[in-house]
Amino acid sequence: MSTHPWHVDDALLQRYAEDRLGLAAAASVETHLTACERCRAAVVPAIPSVAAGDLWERVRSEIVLPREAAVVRVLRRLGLRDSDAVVLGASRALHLPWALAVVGALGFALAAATAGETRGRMLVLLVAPLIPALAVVAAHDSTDPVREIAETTAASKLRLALLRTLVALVGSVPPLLVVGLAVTGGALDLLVWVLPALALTSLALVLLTWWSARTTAGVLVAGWVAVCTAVGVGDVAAAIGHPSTQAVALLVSAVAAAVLVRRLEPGVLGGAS
Amino acid sequence: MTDIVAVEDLTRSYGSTVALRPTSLRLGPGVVGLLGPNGAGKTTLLRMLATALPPSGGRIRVGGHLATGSLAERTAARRLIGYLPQEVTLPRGMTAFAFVDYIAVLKEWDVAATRHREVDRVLDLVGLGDRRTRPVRKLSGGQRRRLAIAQALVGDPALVVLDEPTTGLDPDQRASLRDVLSARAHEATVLLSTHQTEDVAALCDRVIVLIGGAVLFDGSVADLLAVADGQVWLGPAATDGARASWRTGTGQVRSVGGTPGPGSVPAPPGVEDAYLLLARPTTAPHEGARP
Repeated sequence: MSTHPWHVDDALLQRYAEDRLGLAAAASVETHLTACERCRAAVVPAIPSVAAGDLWERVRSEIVLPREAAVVRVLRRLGLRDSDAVVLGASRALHLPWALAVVGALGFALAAATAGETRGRMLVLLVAPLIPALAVVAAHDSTDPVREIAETTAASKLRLALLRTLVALVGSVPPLLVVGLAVTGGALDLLVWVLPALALTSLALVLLTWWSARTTAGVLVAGWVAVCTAVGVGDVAAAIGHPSTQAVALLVSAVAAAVLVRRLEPGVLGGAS
Repeated sequence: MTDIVAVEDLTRSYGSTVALRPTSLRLGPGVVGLLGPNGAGKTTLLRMLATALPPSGGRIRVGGHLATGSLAERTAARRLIGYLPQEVTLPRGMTAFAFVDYIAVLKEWDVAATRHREVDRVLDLVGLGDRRTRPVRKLSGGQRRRLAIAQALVGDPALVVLDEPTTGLDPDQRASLRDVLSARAHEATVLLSTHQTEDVAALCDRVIVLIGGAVLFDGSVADLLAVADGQVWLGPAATDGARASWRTGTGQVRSVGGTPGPGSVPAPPGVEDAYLLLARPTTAPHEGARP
């Protein structure tokens, strides 16, 4: 039986349980709880079960799940939803497809940066939005050990490809810096292609929350071709490295990411458990 | 009985090679065993039912959804399917839990807490609950096979397609798997291919024997055993014209088919005997016992 002369009142206990007390007050309550059996018993039911469940889930995840790669942790902090983080984490755990995807992204940047003022450059420009995604799809199709299982699930294959492309593009930045410095003497020529590709990939992911894969792909490809045609090959190539173009690409990526986070909030789209 | 799977005139060819001749099937709840020699078309049929391989012709419905139809219909069908391919190379660096968690995400289990509970459930089902944090590379062959089976059971699919699930499992693990699959079969179609005829006898409500890309037998285990009734013999020597014969541990020769010689007595047939009679319709050279 508790022998304490006083006890924490219910309202204060409730606020403590819900983590709504200041540091000093919370410390004071905790000091009392360590010595008062009656208040300890009273505080347990006051802790919201959801909060306790979340806490347990976090503890459990730390123990059971492997530590995520830095790029996935960064994306998660930026608002990436849990299930997408799992997909991206798994993509990195599938070492060979991941390596090939990053190599594909590197190849795309090299091809774009080194193509001359020719038809070849026009071709690169026209397929630029597709190259990283195609590299990722090809890498997983040919080397993913669980491809056959993944294929028979209900997951959108385009969305998977775009998510993987997103993380491959982000992951390709450090090797691009190295390759750029080693090959061209300046990494900027290569890096300038990453942000536009990132913007188009992010935009595609957002549009997929409204439109079908076919419509999304059609609109983006048509839009890109229209821009290339309207601006002209040489001008597009010159403009792509301009700070304003990079700023626009960064802005589009950021806005797309923000909209994506909003669109993927529970209840916005409905969906499976 | 409600049909979960309806197959109509399903065919598949690889160039000029016909892997599956026009096949129609209706499958309700229960365990269905698919028997047949290598190259008979078993894996081709299973892959098409799992939507991993498009058919050359015909239609597949799963839970009323046309799996061979539009993307939307195929996606709806895929929500009802759990699939274990014949050969799966699991990502060596992932833990058992992380691997099944990944597949669960692909199966649209988006809420982490419920998904993790489901992953725990299927890992417990296959006896890997205490191995969840172990990397795949540190699991034994049998444990990896069970892990691959676990992912097929995520979400209690209405159609479970398992291509040789018992390969690499020891007798105890096979018995446990039978228990899991028979429980699931109360409300789902569990379709499995196997070369282990004892699994068929112990587990399957229905057997389909596929030979040369065509269904040669489709019925209950009892019906299959009836095929070999009176055609299995034990004696000092192989029967004349036996489809298969071998010397048993008792020193006697067990013969399937053929005309019994002196000293031969009838033996109760097994699933393997019936299968051999179907798979070897005529006398063919084979490794047998020497009298």
